Amino acid sequence: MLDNKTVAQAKKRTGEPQEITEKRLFALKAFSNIDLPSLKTESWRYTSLKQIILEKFENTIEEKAKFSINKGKGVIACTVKEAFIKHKDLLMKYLPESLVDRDNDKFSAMHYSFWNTGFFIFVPKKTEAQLAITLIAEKEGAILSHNLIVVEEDSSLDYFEEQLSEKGSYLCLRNDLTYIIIKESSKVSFYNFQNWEDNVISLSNWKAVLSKDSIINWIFGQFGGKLSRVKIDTLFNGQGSSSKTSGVFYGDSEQHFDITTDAHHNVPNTNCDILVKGVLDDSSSSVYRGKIKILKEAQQTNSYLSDHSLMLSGNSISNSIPSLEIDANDVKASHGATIGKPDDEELFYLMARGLSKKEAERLIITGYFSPVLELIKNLEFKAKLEDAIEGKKK
Amino acid sequence: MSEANDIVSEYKYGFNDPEKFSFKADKGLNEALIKQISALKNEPEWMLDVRIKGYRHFLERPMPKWGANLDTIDFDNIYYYGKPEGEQATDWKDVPEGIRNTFDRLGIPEAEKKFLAGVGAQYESEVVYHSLRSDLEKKGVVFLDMDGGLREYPELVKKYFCKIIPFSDNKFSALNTAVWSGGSFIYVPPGVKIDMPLQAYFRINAKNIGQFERTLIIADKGSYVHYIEGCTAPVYSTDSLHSAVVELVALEGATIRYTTIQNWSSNVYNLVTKRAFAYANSRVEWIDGNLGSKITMKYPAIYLLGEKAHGEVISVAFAGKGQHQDAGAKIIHAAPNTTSQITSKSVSKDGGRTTYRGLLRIAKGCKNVKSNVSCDALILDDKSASDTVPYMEIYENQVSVGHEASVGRVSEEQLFYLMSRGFSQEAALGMIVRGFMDPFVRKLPMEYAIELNRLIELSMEGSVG
Repeated sequence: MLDNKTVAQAKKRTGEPQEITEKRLFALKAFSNIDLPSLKTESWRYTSLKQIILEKFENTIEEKAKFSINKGKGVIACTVKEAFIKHKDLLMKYLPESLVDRDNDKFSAMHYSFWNTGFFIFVPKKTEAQLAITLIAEKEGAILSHNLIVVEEDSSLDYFEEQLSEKGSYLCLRNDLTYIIIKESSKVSFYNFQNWEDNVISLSNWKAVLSKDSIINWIFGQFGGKLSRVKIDTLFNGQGSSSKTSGVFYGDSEQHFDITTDAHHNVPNTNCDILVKGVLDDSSSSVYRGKIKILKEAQQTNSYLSDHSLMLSGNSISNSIPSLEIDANDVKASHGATIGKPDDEELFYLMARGLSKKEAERLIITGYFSPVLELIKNLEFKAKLEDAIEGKKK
Repeated sequence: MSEANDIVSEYKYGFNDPEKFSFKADKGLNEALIKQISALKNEPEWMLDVRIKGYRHFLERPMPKWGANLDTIDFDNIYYYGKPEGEQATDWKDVPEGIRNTFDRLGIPEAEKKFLAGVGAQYESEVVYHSLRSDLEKKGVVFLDMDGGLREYPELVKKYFCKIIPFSDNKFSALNTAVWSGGSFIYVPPGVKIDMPLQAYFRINAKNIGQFERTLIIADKGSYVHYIEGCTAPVYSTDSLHSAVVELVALEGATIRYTTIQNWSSNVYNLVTKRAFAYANSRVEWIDGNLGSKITMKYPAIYLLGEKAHGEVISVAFAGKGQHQDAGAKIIHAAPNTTSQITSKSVSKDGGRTTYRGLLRIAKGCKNVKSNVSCDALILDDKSASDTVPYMEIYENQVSVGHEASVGRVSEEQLFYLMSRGFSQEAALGMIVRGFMDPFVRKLPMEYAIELNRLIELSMEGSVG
């Protein structure tokens, strides 16, 4: 049973003060009351939970984490446990706001009740920081990682995250939340590269809260896992804030990707631009949701979203639900979506030049992804995505 | 009351006649009333069975949790059946004077003379007037009210009734099945092309009345029909409910164009289920205009069941003060080589809200499907709002699907250009909005296009201030 005992276990592991445990107990009430979602639950309509049997994941475990601070004076990057010991006041200044559950969802409540690991990253004022982190799952159990990133005023952070898993016939359930607070005139580039073996099921949420004139750029490549659900929430809470998303995913065999990018425009004069491209091969499937929500007071906002699926196989499934909720009139908001197969004429042309069908397809896929890849300024990260794309077609 | 007066000033169909019923049920709904309606209509046993099944499903089925807010509907405060005085006429002279005057004011007899091949006029729960051009009658075209259809073509009705839209499809299709009355029954024989539109006009007159018409159109192989429906109601301070079910069958090579100009008064809940089955080489078009009502929830659907069938939905919505137009389209590709197009245009002002809600599904194995969806919304002031919620479910890769949507305000450049040419701001805005609605207006017969443009102009009055 996931219950009070699991909470006690988690508390022991993080070494948190009672104030934080209270928040867990509050979430635990919701967790006990909310039913498991079914395909009738709107947000789970296209993602089957057959593989997730909660009783199997009573054992909460930690992952292998490696940090390296490449740049930045006074930057903190450590586990939450370590931060409770060394930077308690600083951590407690920001952590509580990241522990408020606003979703009425079983798995969200599960995270807030039982999170058992995580890291704390802090970039002080007027600092340019760059750091890389590698997270490796290695055994059966549930990892519930609660991560907090705080970037103070006039700073920048390039954050590189690589998520992998050790080979093996275990099943690991991840239920993570990364919460990013970006202060005035600061900028975060959040790079995520995910290439798990097929022994990981992941439900994760990345949330960024933007202050005046701040920026978050999301750059992600999702390749691995049995089921990978990523929900990205960008909260435009400061005027002049902006965000760009460049994301790719690539599914084969029986993989399922469930990707959401929601832009919450809460104040005037904010900008958002989202581009996501996916490839689906074999019997893989995906659902992409992207909501642009502009509140009444959030005038002078521009928000764009574009999502594309390239389906290589007749057994693949692609679902797409871009949506707009616009309550202000002096705005520009739009979305576009395309779904289809590789262009026959392009294939024919390439094959007439002597390429095999496989080679021709590979070229077309490279060309298809290139508008996203070209937006990625970090060459090392870009190369990682290119390799993963190559690796898929072998 | 002052609020109702505000609306009356803009809405020219808000007048009402004294109520004259030959039969009016008590408020509220129960099985006894359903049996009574069925007995009054002298229906076959199977129809009563379906009605009862529909009613039971209506009771069990919860209200939809999505879409517009329907909390304020009071199902116990509605009259579910009201038969106006007089019998159904085929000559306007035989229609009771009060009702005839109403349709005169709505311009129906005049339109009939000029450019319609047939007319049905429904008042409350029953069709009071029906006509069809004699040459079409000779060719075997059937255009009756639904009750007449059931009496004269029971086998055909039984074959298709509730087969395109099962009573259990949703709460309101269940309600309609339980208490349906009136609506049109049309059969077009193979190869017959009806050169002028058939029109049905639906008028609610009494307070708190529900109108539940039921329409079935069967276009046999290679035939063509254009059907137009219009609807208006008086303005009252209490609400009325309009909940229709419309089933279309386009057999091989047939074309059905179904045009709706919905202009209910702003106290009518308009909750309608419309669906078409389109067989090989057929073409179905829903041309759907929503100008009136308090709340509309309507998503005309096309199931493309045969190869090379084509489906098209063109819809416009206009939401003013207190209105929510939650409209859209549903297209299911269930055969290879089928194509579809959805075009949605909406305008909101004075606190109105428009929603486009759509579904596009391509079933596995339906190769060479092409589909395109385009939704545009204009928000004219800072009190109004717009949502777009399209679902795409694609189970086949040999397809091409495109979707685009945009929301924003009227372009400053366009306004500036027109004003620099000497148009007032209001006139310029009106022109831009009419241009925006053009893909819809172009699909209408000229007389209707003119009327619609006038309606838009009327709705736009006072937009600049």
